[in-house]
Amino acid sequence: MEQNTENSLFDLSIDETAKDHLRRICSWTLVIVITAVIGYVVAIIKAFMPKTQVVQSEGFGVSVSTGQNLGSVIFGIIIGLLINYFLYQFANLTKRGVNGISQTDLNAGFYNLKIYFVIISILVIIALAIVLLAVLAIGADATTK
Amino acid sequence: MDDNQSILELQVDQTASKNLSEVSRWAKFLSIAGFVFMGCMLILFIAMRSQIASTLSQVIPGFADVNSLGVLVAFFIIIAGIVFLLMYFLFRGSILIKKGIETKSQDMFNNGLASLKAYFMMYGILAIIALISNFVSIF
Repeated sequence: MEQNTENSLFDLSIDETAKDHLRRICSWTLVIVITAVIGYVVAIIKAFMPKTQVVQSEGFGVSVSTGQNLGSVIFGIIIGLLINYFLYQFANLTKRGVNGISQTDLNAGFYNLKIYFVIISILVIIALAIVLLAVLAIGADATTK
Repeated sequence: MDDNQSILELQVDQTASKNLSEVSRWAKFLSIAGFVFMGCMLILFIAMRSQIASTLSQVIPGFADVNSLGVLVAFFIIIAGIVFLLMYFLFRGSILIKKGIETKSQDMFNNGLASLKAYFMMYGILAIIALISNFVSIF
């Protein structure tokens, strides 16, 4: 009992300012999720459209790639949906937790935000590693020539 | 009355503070990676600006003049500024939330949430702009 009183005295609370910030964060994260899902539909439509366009420039035909491979689009959508699922869960649970004063929902919301940032960070690490390897390969290729 | 208030009030309890500390750690990593990435892109752009201009002049006729290169530099600076601001909000949010939890400072914690709100707001607006430009590119 004494421990509980001490906790409530010294713990941070989600006051009205914090609640307002959290509600707005949830609203904007929902906007991000919805625009991302619409963007995936647009990406699928674009993937089925003609892939290359030839720009004629003073007799030279310069080929410019305008479309993406369907496989890479689907791969990107699967990863995007996974990321946005956690963002959606964060928005949904945190909003429910703040409006319904539910500590369990609020904690679950924060947990989902953590997973969202972890997945993005891992993807960034993988992307950085690939870029680094590509730079090293180009550098090695240049020195051997 | 006070007892009811404390029961009904949401707290940053041990579970929440643990999760939020993890959020701060990864958000800080992401923002630093964003700053580094922008720095690398800036160096790459400065080093290869003539090659970029010559490649673009092949694709876009009449790009070779000085004004077009100026437009390209201005465009790059605007993009870099937007990304820098986005990463700054994320970095500030992560630092303040972590410090707020560690020092149990309500103001610092709320300011951290405000920065995180600014980050997601800017991200949302950019996502809407990207979606509109995606739509436009279909037609």
